[in-house]
Amino acid sequence: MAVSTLVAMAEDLRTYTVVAAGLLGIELEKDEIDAVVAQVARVARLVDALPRVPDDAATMAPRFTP
Amino acid sequence: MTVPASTNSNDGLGGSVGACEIAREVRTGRLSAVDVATAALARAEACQPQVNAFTTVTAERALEAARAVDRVVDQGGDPGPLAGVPFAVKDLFDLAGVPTRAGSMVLAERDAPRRDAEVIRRLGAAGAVVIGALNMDEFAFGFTTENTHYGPVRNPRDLRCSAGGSSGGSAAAVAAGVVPFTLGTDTNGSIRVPSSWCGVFGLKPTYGSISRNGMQLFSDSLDHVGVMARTAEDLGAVFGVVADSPLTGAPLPPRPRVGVLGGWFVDKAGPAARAAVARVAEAMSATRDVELPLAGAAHAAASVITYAEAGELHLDRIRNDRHRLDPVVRHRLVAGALLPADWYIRAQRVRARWVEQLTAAFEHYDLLLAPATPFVAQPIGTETVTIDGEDLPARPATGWLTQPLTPTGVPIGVAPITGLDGAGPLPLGVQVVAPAHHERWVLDALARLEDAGVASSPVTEIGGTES
Repeated sequence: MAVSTLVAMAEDLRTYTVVAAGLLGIELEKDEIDAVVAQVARVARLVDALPRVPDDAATMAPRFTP
Repeated sequence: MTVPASTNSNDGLGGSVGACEIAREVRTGRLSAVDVATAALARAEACQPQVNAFTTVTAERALEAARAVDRVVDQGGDPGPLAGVPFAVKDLFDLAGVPTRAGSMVLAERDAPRRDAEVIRRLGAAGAVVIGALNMDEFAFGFTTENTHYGPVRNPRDLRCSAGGSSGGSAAAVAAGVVPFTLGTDTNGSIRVPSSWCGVFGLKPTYGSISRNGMQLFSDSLDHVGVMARTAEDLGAVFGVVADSPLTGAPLPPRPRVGVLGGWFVDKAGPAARAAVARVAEAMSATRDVELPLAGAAHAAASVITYAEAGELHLDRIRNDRHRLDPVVRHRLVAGALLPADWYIRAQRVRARWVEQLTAAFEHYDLLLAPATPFVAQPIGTETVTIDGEDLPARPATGWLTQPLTPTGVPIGVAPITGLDGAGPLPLGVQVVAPAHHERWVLDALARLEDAGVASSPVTEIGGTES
């Protein structure tokens, strides 16, 4: 499974999940880590279906008409 | 709740009587709002053991409101365009004095709101009578209303099946004839999926066209308030009351340019879904398929945005109330909270391109058609659905055809179609998609399909709800 950016930099998806949860103050029980990792992996697969579109700030920024 | 049952279908109080018809009778004094409310409360009670649509029934409040409507009529005043029409709302809209649960135990223990949500206030001012709050997926995060805390909502068309979600109680209450209309919300299909599975008309209007004040959000940039009913006329009457702007603009042209969404919307649809669209396409003289290359990416974008926004919204709850959340919902919310910003921004950029693509299609078409769900309602607990020989994950696949369209924010109606080969008595909805702020075109199209006998939403009697 190809995953991108921050996740790819982590040792693996499980490590990323545990570390990121810790940073946010989310306590994960040992027996639920796999279930959360599965959800993150599901979203990662969806991200792989997103084409890279031009880095156009206007897609997100407010637009004012003079 | 114990209320007298006075629901002879010939006296105008039966479950199959529509909102506009009730209002006409109440406004002229031929029908008492109290009698209408009493009958609706009796149907809610009769239906509840089998369908489980309600989380709260507000009988005293309903009867008090109905008495007020009758007093206005008696005094020769104007009781409002929806005088005496009973309705119910998804349990994420604030009802004064009733804890807003949003399908969760966490919220149930909070203080009850002092004020109604803005949409409920507007409906009350129009004379409508709220009779309760309706079951849903926890925090609206689901497509099947198999709620761990409050039990599943069963589909009136087949009680073994899910009603769809997350506004499952809203669709089921309409299909069973408890009330002529309900309010729901739609983030990834939560009005359109249960409308499809329960066989009712649904309207997800243009993003932002109905106030969300006093409502529990799920995914801010995708959450829409909408309506379910058994006729297009009733959808329009309710939308006219709750929307920030009235229904205006030209009606749908006599011979609209109608396209059928192809590609993703055909590839992900099962035989019953394709047949339902074909029937509507024929009735509307749609001949051309419209393939939008970003549809699959739009589905992914909607999912990523939902995870991220819901995870952020509920961060405190997944930190502090984790043991009181459905574990499946908690795992989704935690995952959402952990997503890198890069993923969310990528999804929003794809969304912007997708909006441009769909908008461009409306230069050539007035309306676009697509199935609302890939398959008909499935038995509660179903994990896998086999379509065209392929095993699909039932719950995520349920939203494949609604999710891509939500990020565009355009208005979408659902036309309920029955009598589909291989579907037995189960209905399946077809999405009728129009340009932004063209709700009138959607409603006109649904009305034409109804008049032509293509779409319909009869009441399914449950425990005496019809009579």
